[in-house]
Amino acid sequence: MQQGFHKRAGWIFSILLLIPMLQHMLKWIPTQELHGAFTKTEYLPLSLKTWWDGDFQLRTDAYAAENFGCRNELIRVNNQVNYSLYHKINAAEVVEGKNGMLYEYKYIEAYTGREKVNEEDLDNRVRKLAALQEHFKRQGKLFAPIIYPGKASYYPECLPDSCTVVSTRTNYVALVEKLNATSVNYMDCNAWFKAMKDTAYAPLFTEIGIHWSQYGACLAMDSLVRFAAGAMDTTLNEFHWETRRPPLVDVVFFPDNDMESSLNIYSSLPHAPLAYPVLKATSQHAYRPQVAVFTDSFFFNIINLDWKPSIFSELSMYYYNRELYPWPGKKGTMPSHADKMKALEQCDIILVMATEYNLDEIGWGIIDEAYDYFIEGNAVNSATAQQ
Amino acid sequence: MVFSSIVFLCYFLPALLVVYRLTPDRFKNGLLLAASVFFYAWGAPRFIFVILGTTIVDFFLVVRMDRMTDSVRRKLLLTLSVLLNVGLLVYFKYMNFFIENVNAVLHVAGFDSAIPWAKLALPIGISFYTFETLTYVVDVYRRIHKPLRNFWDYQLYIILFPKLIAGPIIRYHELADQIHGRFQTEKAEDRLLGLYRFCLGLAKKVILANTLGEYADSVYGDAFDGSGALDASTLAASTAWLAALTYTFQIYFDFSGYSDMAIGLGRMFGFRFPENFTNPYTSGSITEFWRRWHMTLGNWMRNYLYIPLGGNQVSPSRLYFNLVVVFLLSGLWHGATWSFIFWGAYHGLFLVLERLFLLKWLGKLPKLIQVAFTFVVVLFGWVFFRVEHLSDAFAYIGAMFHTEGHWQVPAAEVVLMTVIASVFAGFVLLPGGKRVQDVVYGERSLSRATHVGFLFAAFIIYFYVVGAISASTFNPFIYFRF
Repeated sequence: MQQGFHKRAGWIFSILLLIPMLQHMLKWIPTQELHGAFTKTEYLPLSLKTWWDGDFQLRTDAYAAENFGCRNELIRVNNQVNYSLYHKINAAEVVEGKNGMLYEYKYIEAYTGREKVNEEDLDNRVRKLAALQEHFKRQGKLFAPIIYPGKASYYPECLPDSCTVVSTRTNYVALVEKLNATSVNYMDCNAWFKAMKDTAYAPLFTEIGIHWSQYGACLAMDSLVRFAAGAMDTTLNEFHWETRRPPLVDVVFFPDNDMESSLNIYSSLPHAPLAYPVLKATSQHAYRPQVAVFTDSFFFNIINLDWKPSIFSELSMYYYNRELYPWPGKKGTMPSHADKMKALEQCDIILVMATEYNLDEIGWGIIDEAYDYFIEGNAVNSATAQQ
Repeated sequence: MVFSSIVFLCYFLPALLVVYRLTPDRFKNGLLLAASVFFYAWGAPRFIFVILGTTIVDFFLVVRMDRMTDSVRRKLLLTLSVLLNVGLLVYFKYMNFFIENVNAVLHVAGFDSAIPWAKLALPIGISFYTFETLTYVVDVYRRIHKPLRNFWDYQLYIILFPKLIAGPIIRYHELADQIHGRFQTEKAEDRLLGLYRFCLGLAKKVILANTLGEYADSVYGDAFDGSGALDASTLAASTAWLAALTYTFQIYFDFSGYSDMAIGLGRMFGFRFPENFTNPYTSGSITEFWRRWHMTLGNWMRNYLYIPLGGNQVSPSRLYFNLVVVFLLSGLWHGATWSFIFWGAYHGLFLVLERLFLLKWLGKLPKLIQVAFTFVVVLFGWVFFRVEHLSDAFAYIGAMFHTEGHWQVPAAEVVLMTVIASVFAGFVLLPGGKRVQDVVYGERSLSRATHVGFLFAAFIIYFYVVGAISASTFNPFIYFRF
């Protein structure tokens, strides 16, 4: 009797152990993808050489670890256990502060003065920005820097105790000081958001996202259009808010929960009620500028909204000056330096936008490129250098 | 390949278990041998040929030695086989160390030129493999057991994958009769008991040891800057103590976890391997500690080194000398650095002191004090084991007693795992603890209800660990940056 039970139990367990392999091969059970950005290992075909060198085995170890069946669910279970028991987070650079506030460590570094401030480089950048702004202004166009807000600056009270301010001379402080010392027209959303923090109708940052909230992004875009119109001394179509006080809801829509998503856990993390405004652009003016933005990820909250046709004729988002997301159209290939400069010549508004921790790299090379091309007139040399 | 890898847990083991069950008995050893060669070649595709080559030579040397009656010739072949195997170990494991030290001496002596040497990679499991080949030739020489008649059986004894990489070190006569005899004695329950033991080891290794090791690594890593000097300004005494404690548990649960996995795997395939650890941190003396820690190495050292040196049947001074020699070599077996040698000497010193007077003194103290004293001695020993350079190890121990630095609050996970590790390491001291351990270790037949509970627990542990291993390599960014 017992012997039969032992045999059956042994067989059942052996077959259960086969599930990950069978699921990998047959994909019987639909699984939900994991969130976040990561690099996938490519499979290396077996050959005598790859086996002999051990490359096949190493690569297969990594490949198997990324592709075995039920992996996504097992990782979620593991992440959930670790988060529930110890508040341990399995996502690169994500830090949990007080009251469940999630930060990305880079933002903390920038706010607490742990980043290096290269004064000379910032001076140089501001000088070129001033020259470019003046150059485009003469043509009735706008070339302007925009400073996005940073979550660590916005919620410093929730930073972990270990994250103390080590220097008040941050890249943000230095850049703002240098911009103020010149005639450069710029928009500082970081200071503006902090000023609005206590009076804002809805959270401008969520506890579980790293970018500005959808509500915050809408406010910022509204102001950005007014800023551009003011700077260019022209009139642009404006936003019409269906209501300035949209209902506060407990649901959260991506990307307001982008950090929570990257944790890959089952439970939902608590957050304050959020507002999702409905914006429509008025169409009383025919002039719709052509716009190029050189930006980090903050602009994704804006580009996905559907009011663009009423405000802009074309919008090209250069993500870190490495990837192009044009509107109208889908993600395209980055143009050559020469084509990019020609495209900028056609634009009415050029914005270089960066959040606090990216200010040391604001523009990601476009300021130098544009300065060389438009101010120094090194079109050929610059193009050759870029190629 | 290692047991705690996805390739092993999700592909190799499940496939092998099913195929092994479906294979007729007479082909099972062949299947295990092929699986073992594949297992080893996965991590060492070139060195597998060195193993295969030396085992061929060894096998025929031993067969010939066994047939001989002339003691001089027998001894000659024994010496030849020992030299072959020890030579292999010395070449691959100790030549880098030897040349480095010779070059250092030459440099100090004022010679400009050094001996040119391209560093060798250490083949995995060579220390275990070598000691087992030695037991084969010595056991046959001593006529403890007849040699194996079939070369492939000998290959299987040497290369059997569950114990090849990290032991236990199985002496030839302990396994010889199981190669074919196990089919008559094996019960279906053994497979289940083996599975539970494997899962227990998996949990010890991945959940306990890896977590504790992560903390220990971070502290030991931070303690030494690029030049290897101790950064006393950041390392508080309390942090240094906690890291030493977590490393003490890490090394135990890592190694004993791996041994549990090996013993469990062996049992799933019908083999009974000797125990390697029996609650070493409950020892009341260093002498007792070495009866409980890495027991198969201790037994090997006693039978193949200590006793041939004269064992206890010698003068006290010679006895002390023998002890120190055995432990110096034991330290060297663990790794080719001066820290390992010092660690061996450190334990040897305490064994001598215990023979001289310490054991008598300890005997007068309550058991708990004996255990605490021994634990602290062992803990300091692990500092030498963990830190690569001797001077750094002394500096670290110095930091354990200084009053500067800031206490770094460890993560809740580290605290919880340290508490769990302490309980697991010492619970046999509690009433009924040994009985519970026997049940978990599969020393007793279990009721059907207990099996169901254990199967459920094993299933949860197995797949949780698979998730943990995978999660440890999956650390996504929120989005890509450039």
